[in-house]
Amino acid sequence: MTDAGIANETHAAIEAVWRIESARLIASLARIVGDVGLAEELAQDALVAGLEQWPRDGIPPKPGAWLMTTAKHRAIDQLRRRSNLQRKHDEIGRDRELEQRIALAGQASQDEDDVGDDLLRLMFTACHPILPRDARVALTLRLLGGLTTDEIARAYLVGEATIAQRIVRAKRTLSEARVPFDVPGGADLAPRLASVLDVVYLIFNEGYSATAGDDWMRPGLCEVALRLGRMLAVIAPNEAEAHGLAALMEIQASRLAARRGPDGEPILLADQDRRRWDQVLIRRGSLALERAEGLGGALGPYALQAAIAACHARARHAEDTDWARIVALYDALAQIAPSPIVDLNRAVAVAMAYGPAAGLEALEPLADEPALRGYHLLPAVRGDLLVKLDRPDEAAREFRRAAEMARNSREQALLRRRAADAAGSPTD
Amino acid sequence: MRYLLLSEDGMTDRSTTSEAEAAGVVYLAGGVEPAARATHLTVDGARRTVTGGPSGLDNGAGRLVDFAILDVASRAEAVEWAGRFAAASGGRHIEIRRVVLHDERLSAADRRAD
Repeated sequence: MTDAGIANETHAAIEAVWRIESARLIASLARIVGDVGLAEELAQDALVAGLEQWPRDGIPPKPGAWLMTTAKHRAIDQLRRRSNLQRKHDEIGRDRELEQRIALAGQASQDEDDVGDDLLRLMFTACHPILPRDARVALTLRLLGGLTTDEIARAYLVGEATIAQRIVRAKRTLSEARVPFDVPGGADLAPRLASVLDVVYLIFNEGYSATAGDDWMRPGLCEVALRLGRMLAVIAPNEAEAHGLAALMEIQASRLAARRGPDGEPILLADQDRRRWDQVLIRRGSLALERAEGLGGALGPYALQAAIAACHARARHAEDTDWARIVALYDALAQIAPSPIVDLNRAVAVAMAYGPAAGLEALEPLADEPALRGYHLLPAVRGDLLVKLDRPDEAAREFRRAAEMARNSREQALLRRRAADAAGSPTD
Repeated sequence: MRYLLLSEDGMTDRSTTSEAEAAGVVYLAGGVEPAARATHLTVDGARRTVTGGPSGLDNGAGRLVDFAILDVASRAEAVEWAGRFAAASGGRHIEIRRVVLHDERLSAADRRAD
């Protein structure tokens, strides 16, 4: 192999080490120094040192430990330099204390449980409600997903400077608000955990909505989110909703290969080639769902959505789907997490389980729902049911309305064709 | 990207893969019986011959082949995990191969990384 080839290979190996180690490194450092932003800088410094030394000396057998030791040395160096420069008495005292903590932290070798606890603290901090949602997402991808700023920017189709600024601002906010690096306890835990799960699922959905021709980092977000979800289920094993979210993402990911046609056009669940569903992921999802239910979490919002996804996954053919059970699950979901979208999906399930007339009736109360005003799927679903009820003129009107509301041209064309089909059907 | 790791050195018992499980990269892990117990089907025209299988004579000779299929960002990451599995299990040799499903078209990203 050429020198350049070896250098490339070493570089790829270092990147791989970083992908595996960065979250744990940052998490452990943040516990020691008490500041996520500083921890990330130290971790980056250690990586730079590795990039300098490893191509020459080879990658050490325990690269994670090497990075940690290097980062701690950097931390102590920085503190000493700062103390000498500033010479403010109280600050020197505080820095001494910190220096001692760093030195002590180096002695005890960490076991996996401690690492898990640190990672959990890092998740809670990165997803802190004090931060705007897009900052939580960026920080999570950066600190826990090991993504570079450039990768995040490409995944979200925005400029790199935007993401860099978002991350800097988020770290400053956390630092200024003195957000403790900890897992919240008591009554705080549930809403804070919900914020963590929300961020991971947002990342997954961003990847899921990627279309053909998008930068390859976009669909990659599904993989990153799935990794984070699986990690959460391991480090927070008693949290039913962590397993519920993992279950939901595993099952949705099982359909990734089947949900687009050869030209990238979306294929509806009912029309997908179910032989292309990934049965390994479905099995993983079902096991995760069982775990959520075993922890008494069957009625959590993610577990319920996972249970609905599992109903579809179990059906070998679309017509085998247990729609009555899906209706019941949507009923439960509407109670704990009411939303017009849930009501709309429930109405579709009602139509499948109990006939189009029942579905239309279930749609009735949604007509005046402000959140659905302008949402093309509402008239589209109504049009669908009216076709089945042999009311073609009304159906055509609904499809035309839907076409006016639809935002992308492919959907508009599809809905206009359906309007024409419906209007033409009695005379054809 | 998905990679298959193969080893005869007892790679994939739970304690070996726990770190990778916690990192969320394990898609599937398990083992296949030793080659000495494998069944072989030979087809010659319309004639099928089946040989081998657990005859009782092999006494379980040979070693179980452990496998793990990982979802990772690059081949280098698969190699790094393999190194960790070897370190955790005392194994000496792990084979690493890219897995491509029938309906998976190689995306630009995959070509880039390999």
